[in-house]
Amino acid sequence: MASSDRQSSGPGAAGGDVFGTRFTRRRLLHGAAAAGLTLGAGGLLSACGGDGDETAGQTGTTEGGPSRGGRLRVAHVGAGKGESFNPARGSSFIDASRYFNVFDPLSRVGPTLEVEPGLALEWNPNEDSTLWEVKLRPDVTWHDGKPFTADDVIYTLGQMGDAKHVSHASVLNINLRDVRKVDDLTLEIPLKSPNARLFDSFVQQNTVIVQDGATDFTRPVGTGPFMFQSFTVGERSLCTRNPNYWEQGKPYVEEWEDISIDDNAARLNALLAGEVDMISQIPFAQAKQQQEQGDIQVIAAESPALQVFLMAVDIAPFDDVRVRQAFRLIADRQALIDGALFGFGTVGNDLAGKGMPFYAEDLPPREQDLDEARALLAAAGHENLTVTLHTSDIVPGFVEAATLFAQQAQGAGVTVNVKREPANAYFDTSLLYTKLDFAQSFWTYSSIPLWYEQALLSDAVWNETHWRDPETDRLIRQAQGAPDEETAEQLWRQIQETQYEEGGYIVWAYQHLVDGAAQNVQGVEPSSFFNLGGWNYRDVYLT
Amino acid sequence: MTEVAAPRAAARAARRRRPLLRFVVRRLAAAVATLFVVSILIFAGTEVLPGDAASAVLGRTATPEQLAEMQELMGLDRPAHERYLDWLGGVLTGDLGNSAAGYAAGGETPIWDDIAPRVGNSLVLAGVTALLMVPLALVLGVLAAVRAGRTVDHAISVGSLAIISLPEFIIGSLLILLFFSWLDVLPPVSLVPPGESALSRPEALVLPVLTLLGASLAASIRMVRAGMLEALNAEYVTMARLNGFRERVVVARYALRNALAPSVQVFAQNIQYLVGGIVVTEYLFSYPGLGKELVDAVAIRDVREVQSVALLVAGVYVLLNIVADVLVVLLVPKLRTQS
Repeated sequence: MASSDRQSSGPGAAGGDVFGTRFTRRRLLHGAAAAGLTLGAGGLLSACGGDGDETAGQTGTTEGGPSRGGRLRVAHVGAGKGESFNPARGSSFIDASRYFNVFDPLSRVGPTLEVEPGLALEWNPNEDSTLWEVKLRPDVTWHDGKPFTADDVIYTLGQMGDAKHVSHASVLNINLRDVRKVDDLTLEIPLKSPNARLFDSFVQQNTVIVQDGATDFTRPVGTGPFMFQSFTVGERSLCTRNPNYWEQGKPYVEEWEDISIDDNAARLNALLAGEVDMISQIPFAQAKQQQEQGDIQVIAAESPALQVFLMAVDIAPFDDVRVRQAFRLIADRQALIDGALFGFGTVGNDLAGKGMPFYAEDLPPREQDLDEARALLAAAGHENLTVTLHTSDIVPGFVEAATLFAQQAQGAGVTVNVKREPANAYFDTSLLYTKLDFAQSFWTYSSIPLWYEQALLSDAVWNETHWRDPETDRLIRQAQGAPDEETAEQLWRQIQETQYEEGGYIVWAYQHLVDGAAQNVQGVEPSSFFNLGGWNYRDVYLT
Repeated sequence: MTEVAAPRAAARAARRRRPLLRFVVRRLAAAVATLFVVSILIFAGTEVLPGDAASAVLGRTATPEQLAEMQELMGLDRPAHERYLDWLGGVLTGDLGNSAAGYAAGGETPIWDDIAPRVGNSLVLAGVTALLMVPLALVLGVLAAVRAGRTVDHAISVGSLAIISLPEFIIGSLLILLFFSWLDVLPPVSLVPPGESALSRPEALVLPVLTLLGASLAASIRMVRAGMLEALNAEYVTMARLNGFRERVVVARYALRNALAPSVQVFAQNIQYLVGGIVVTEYLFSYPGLGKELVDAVAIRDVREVQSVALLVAGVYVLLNIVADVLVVLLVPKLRTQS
């Protein structure tokens, strides 16, 4: 049923309007509350319908609803020995998949990037947005039966205060010592400087809430739709349905297995052969072919996800802004999209968040200009420059884009040596990630404030371009706390202008998220936020 | 070493009577000594690598205090000789310690739990491949030698050499293309669910085994052929022929036995390679074997696990060498009587 919807969101399909909605703070809060109400009602209805636990464990269609039971097997690029159920640690796709389905975030991001309530139902700021009261969802229990309370949230925030937590950036603006429990389901979060959209910082996979006192994640206890069963690091994990999940009646499948298959072709083959039911990330050429052939469902979603080359602004030769500017002029973006993404993307203009609120729409698009690039390099004293571009199979299109860019660079007299790094070490912050001077990266995010906070604050763990500028830090904080839309707009514009002129990113495409599923997999709604419907397996069922 | 020293009188008597047993015992003693030296080399080799598992687990932003704490937890703060003895003791008692991946997740998971299923899977893959490789190599090698210079010989030589000239990932991809994409008779990936034996789904083993055969068969065939040719031209074979034995008997009873001696060593080498060195094939078919385990362990600088896997593979090498040597002695009576 949904396959025709999916096909229509392929390349060339209607775009833009997905991100056209303007969020104001009030509208967002309002929307969030409404969504919470709907969810509650839905739960009530399904409880009345009587499709409770007695049907679980066997595949069969309950009247009018999704069928239950079965094992959902999902394959991703693995992260080797870096894989874990410890949300403080992983930055890879398979980590996100696991964190989002064993734990829950405070806020969720829906398929069109709307923020929905997760474990937090209400976010109420004071007059100047420096103190937030957060009301938590009642009647949520941990997998071990303990009730979920404000203590768990306070503990998780404390854990994120550790500088090595990958989402450390989310709590940099919080006075962690003064976070206060008001009652079991209410807490107060005081900020160092105003932030009008605090909830934006608690939607990502690493900000999921862990149990008060939890340190051992070899046997994780979460509140999420699935309960941990077993885990072989770098190979596969098995989780079972949480019968007490707070979205009553969900999830539909009895078991969910996440499997590491690093090789892109092998992963697709596994799906085609029926060895797995879903895979994240299909190589684009095959995605195009399968959209016509139809052996499998191609789940494609337009997305603001970034395909970038990153240049570390503190390492020679990229510490010279002219070199960075020259490299941006070398990129023929449309050629990269055609060659590496097979059209599954739109041209990027070195900035995040095209179409989102606060995006600097008016900055002129960059075109390839090899003469100007040559001139800039000459001025910087870097004629006949040779650099190494680090790439990896971890995201389809990376290696192809790197190879194409190397060819384009020849036109400006730059020799780019492409070095392939192992996929299961690439996004590991302890190994390669954020240590490379010229490399590729991939970002999913739900809003411009979130992305700048995670990518460009001085202390952000994911600050891969090594952009450490007190002025930018100050402006980001100011913009987040701006009292009105106009001021916010103006401040974000200022931040983006600096990035557009001097930043370390070559954002060459906004890439569609393209995954695959077997024909009998239902309930995956393509999401602009993240792969596989935003790693949502609670709505998936097998027929 | 205790087994060697134990019942001395009995062993001495046995040695006098049984030269083969004496040979085996001597080789086993040498093997233990070899592995001891290898363990020192492995430990020293991994010791000089930059960085340690603690810093790999904690990442770039770790404070010195956190690093010290993790190093203490993982036992990395102790002097090298203590860590070596601790590891060696662990190897002998079967307790390899806890994995760095476990520490990264905040808990403790024994390294052996990570390795054990992989060892099983690798042995299955190597074993099945070896079971097919040896008879195939013998039949094709002998055939090529007996028909030396004729069409059959050329076909076997050209065919096996052409296949071995292709890298494994090409052989494997071609096999997937043929048997999955076109014929759709065999699975393109060989996932092995934890707790299950790789033998529980034989069809999933076919393509990896064929790939490995393609990569290892040619050398064995060439060796059997060369040994056989030499034997067929030897004087005792001519003598046997002159005595009127049928050619089949001459080949099977006189030539083959002597031709096998050098081939056995090549077989052993190939099987050794199948146990430890097939990362590419494992990757291609997503087969959970020891090769990928080792690569993953190196990536996170889990020195303990790298050392343990390396020693395990070294142990398999030494053991296979002993088996090969014993087989050679059994095959060639001259070697038995001489020693």
